Amino acid sequence: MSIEMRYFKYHFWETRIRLVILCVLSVLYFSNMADYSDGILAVDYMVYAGFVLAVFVPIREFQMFNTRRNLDTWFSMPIDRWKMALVHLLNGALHIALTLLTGMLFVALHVSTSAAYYNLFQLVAYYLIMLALTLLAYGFFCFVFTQANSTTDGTLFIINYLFLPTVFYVFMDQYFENTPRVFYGIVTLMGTTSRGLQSVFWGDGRFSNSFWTAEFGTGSGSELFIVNLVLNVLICGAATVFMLRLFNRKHTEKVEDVSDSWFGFRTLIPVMAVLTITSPSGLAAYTFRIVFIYVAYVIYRKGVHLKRSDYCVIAVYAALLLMMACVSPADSSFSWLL
Amino acid sequence: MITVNCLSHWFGDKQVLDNLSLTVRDGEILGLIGVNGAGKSTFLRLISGVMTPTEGDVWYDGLPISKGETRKNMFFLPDDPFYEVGMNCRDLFNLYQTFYPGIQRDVFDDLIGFAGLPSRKPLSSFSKGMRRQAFSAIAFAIAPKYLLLDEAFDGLDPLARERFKGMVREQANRGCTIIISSHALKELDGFCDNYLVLSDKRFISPDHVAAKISSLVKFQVVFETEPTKVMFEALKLRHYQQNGRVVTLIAEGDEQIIRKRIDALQPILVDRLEIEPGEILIDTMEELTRGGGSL
Repeated sequence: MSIEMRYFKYHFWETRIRLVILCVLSVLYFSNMADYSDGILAVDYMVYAGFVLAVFVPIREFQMFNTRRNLDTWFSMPIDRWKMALVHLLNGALHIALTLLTGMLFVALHVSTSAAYYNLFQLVAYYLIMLALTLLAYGFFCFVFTQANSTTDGTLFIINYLFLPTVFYVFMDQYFENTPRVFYGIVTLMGTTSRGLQSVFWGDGRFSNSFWTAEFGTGSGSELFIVNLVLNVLICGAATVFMLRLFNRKHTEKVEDVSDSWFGFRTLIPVMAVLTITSPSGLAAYTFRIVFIYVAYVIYRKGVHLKRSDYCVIAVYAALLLMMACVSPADSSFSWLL
Repeated sequence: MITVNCLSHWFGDKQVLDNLSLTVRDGEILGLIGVNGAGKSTFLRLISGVMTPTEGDVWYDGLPISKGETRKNMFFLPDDPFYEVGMNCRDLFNLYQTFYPGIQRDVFDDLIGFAGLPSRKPLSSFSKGMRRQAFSAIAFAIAPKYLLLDEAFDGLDPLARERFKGMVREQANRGCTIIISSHALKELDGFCDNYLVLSDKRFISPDHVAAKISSLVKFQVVFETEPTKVMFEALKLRHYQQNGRVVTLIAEGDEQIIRKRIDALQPILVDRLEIEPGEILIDTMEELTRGGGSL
């Protein structure tokens, strides 16, 4: 048996308690949340479960690599780093699959013993679709988390990426009309709305509440859905592969230090600042926003001593805010400047 | 054979190691000495594959350390090794057995038993020395071809230290190549086959140490009445130790001149002693620590 296989067995066994807890929570969750009375599975709840797993499991699987002391041991072991990362990636994927499966089996058991009409084949297909989407999101969040040099930073990266697509479209809606929703992010793809994957599969199934009835943007739902799906598969797939490659080149000495990845704070702070920019409605709001971005940089740099480039971003942001206050229509937002 | 070629490393803008090259023969015990912060641990991390050098490369029997396959023959025992909360000696063995399937359980059990370590108690409840012994037991049970030990004597009591040295020597006798780092020079004195001093990002060359040895002389001098250090100010002292009327000194310069100056102090006995390599290293390190040396 290869070292990778032995490590996978070891790691799976060592994380068995986490798996049991997740499975128990899954059963408790579905027993409380799902509604089978009319034969319709409340699919949103499965989405939430998958979504929480896709965020939680990467943190648990990869947080051990965010301690310098641990790396002295792990990175001197006779296994390539990317293979070690692959073991953790696969173990997390297996945990997600088994947790969702436990939930699904519980649902299947419940509906098969109740009077509710239910097509179990649809349930299996639905499970597989949700699993595929959850694993896509999981791979992406593994990439995001491993770009950080600490668990806190990694968690903050994930939170930022969760909101990024939505924030982007809110921004686009504000300044551009009829923005096509070509990419709404994996979270939306997992949803049960017209943009969700199950809407395509269950067009004439029991999930009538999740049909692709609504249209959005400038195109039809199904066309944009396919674009969204392809984009998500490409982005998440590339992120997962990229994660394994970057893991091989991880700078051990930077662990527990500032997370200066281009996929982290360095890019996220200015991008989120610009995407959430609106005309400040008064001096207090203006000051608050600048203080807020300053605090974001303090979190990034783990101290109050910022770099010149950080001050430049804050200065540009302050100038942009001021400019917006000046050029905005004659309303209260400009009056504070006078 | 371990070969290190032109290894340099930076932490951001700060260079910590500069152009280090080294060859360690099979079966050799190499002592790596340096003051705290000299870069010993960084050097060991680089040659064990934990860190990737900014420049240069490290080879074990012609294979690059960056490959997991190469590390099958190598075991690195860091200063503060990893263990999970709640992990005991048996769990530790299981972890390492995953990566080193050839690890010998009987050797591990013997060593653990000999050290009196409880196999089912969590490692977190152990003292630093006890944990050190548990990890050393792992290292010896693996019996790798290459053993890298960082601050290996930390926390060990004198008895455990001697036992540890004996085990290390045993490993070397069966052909294991060992690099052992310490800031406590006396620990390594007379124990290693070779020494390297790491200071100011570089190794102090063996030539420099040899030159040092030839320029120093050690005497033990006994006086009728208790002397004072001031009496020896005519000598360029590198080491001075006084125990009542007995003075042990290491001085730099021509032996005959030094001897004449000591005789001028009218001692009742003068004995010429051999200098141990460790003493030279102590002297060299003290000199470098004071900022007086450059290589």
